[in-house]
This record gives sequence, C-alpha cells and structure tokens, in this order.
Amino acid sequence: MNDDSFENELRKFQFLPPPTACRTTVLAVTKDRRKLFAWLPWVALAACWIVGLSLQADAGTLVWQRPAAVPQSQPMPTPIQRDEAILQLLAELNAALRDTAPPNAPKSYVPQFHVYPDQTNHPSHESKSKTLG
Amino acid sequence: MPDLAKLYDLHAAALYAFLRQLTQSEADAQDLLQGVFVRLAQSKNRVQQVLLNERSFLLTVAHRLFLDSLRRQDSRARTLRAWETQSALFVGTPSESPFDAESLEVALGQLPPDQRAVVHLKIWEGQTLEEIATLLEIPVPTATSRYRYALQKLRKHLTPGVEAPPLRPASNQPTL
Repeated sequence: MNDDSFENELRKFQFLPPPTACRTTVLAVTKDRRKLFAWLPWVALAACWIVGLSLQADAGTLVWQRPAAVPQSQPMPTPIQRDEAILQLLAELNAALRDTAPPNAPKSYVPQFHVYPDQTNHPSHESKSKTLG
Repeated sequence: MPDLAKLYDLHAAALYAFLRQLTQSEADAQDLLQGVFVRLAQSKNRVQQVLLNERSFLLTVAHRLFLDSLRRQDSRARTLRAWETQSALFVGTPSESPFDAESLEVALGQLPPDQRAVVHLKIWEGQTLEEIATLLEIPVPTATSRYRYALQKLRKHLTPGVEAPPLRPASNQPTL
C-alpha cells in the first residue's frame, strides 16, 4: 500500500458531529456576549465623559460649581482668614483712636471696639470680651 | 454581522473534529468549540476574516485556543480527563477498509498533538502543506516532516504486516 492509497483509506473515515446540545449552548453564549458588548461603547463613552469632567475640576470643586464672579487668581478667603483680617483692622482702629485722644482725657473718652466670642457685641458679655489694641 | 448560527452549521462539525483530534477529549473539544464562536462574536474584524477565508481562519483560532488550553492545563486536569468516558471519534468503519475505526483512533491517539494536527488538516481537511504551515504558524519543512513521520507511525500501527515504504527523497519537497 503506497502513501496515496493509505491516505485515501484514512480519508474514508468520517468524524462524529458535535452533540446537538453543543449548538444550543454555543449560540446562547455568543448571543449573550453580543448583547453585553453592545453596551460597551456607551459605558466607555460615559467613563470618558466623567474622566474629562474630573480633569477640569480644581481642588475638588467642579468647574460649574465655582462662583463665576470670583476670579480664579483670587480664591475666596477662608472663615479664619476673614476673622483675622477683621481683628487686625479693629486693632489698628483702636490704636489710631488712642493716638489721637488728648493726653489728659479720661479713659472712658477713648472709645474701644470689642469683639465678643459669640459675635453678639452685647455688654452682658463684657466679662468674656477681649479688648483689642 | 453574519448569522453565527449559519456559520456554526457550516463549520462546527469540521472544527469539532479537529479539536477532538487535538484534545482527545469530548468535553475539551466542546469547550474550545464554544471558545472559537465566542471569539468570533466579540470582534467584527474576525467576522470579516471568516467571510474572506472561512474555514482556515476558524481552524487557526481553534488551534491557538488549543495551545492556550495546553499551557493552562495542570496535571490534575489531565488525570481527570483520562477518566472521562469518551464517545467514539469516528462514525464507524467504512466497508472494505483494511483497518477499523477503533484501531485508527488508538493509532491517532499515540501521535503527538503536533503531528495529529498536521495529519488531520492534510487528510480530512484537504489542505496543502503550505496552507497547513500558514495555519499552524510553522515553517513548511516542519509541517512536511511532521506529516511524513505521522503517516509512517500510523501505517506501522494499522498495517503491521505490511512494510512501510521509505520516506520520499527530499528532491522536490523540503524536509528538516
């Protein structure tokens, strides 16, 4: 038996086909995959949009949340910075009043500005108050 | 997008036979067959390639999946597979055949997977050695020698009384 006739003998053998259930499984799986991947572009687009917005965010605040009137070069002062600036102004004012008062003027003549801890500026809180200057 | 059901009906039997031949396991062949069609469903480019060169492309994907599965498979999986009950590989023995289907199945099982792949593609898919080399991503001389050695082993197993002719001289065919 030469090579060709041996090959021909082999060629006569037929393989068994895959089980019928295999077709059902394969088509069910591929259908699910196609449905899944149909959503993928939209998910990717949404992810890109979120990443783009995050890149525009400045110090944790998104662009559209920042007040438009405040320029970016002058950030809003924090409450502590604002209080310190007010105290500084009051101290300067008290010093100026003291300097301009007559030398023999009574102590009550010179007005004093107080800052009360509870911000009410009420005389009943005088004991807790702090005299500036 | 072409109908995957139609592609399945056209090619699944051939792919399953090829995978069954490579894996020697019914369950693994079914898993890999499913893998081929899942890959096909994932990419439009792949579908275009299938349309251009249907069977060869699918066989290439099947072969790559088989190689991947070989790399992943541990010894425990191989042991478990050895205990699986396998259905026959062939429909039956053709009339007037000098050997039977069971002997052929045993003989094929004794070949290394590389040689089984080449024999299957040459005998049952009718591919040329050049096409097989492209499909399996190996040099043509390698495909040629694998085929010759495999055929010699099959002949020795299936027709023990008949002396096999010597390998053809390498005058017009490349060898290793």
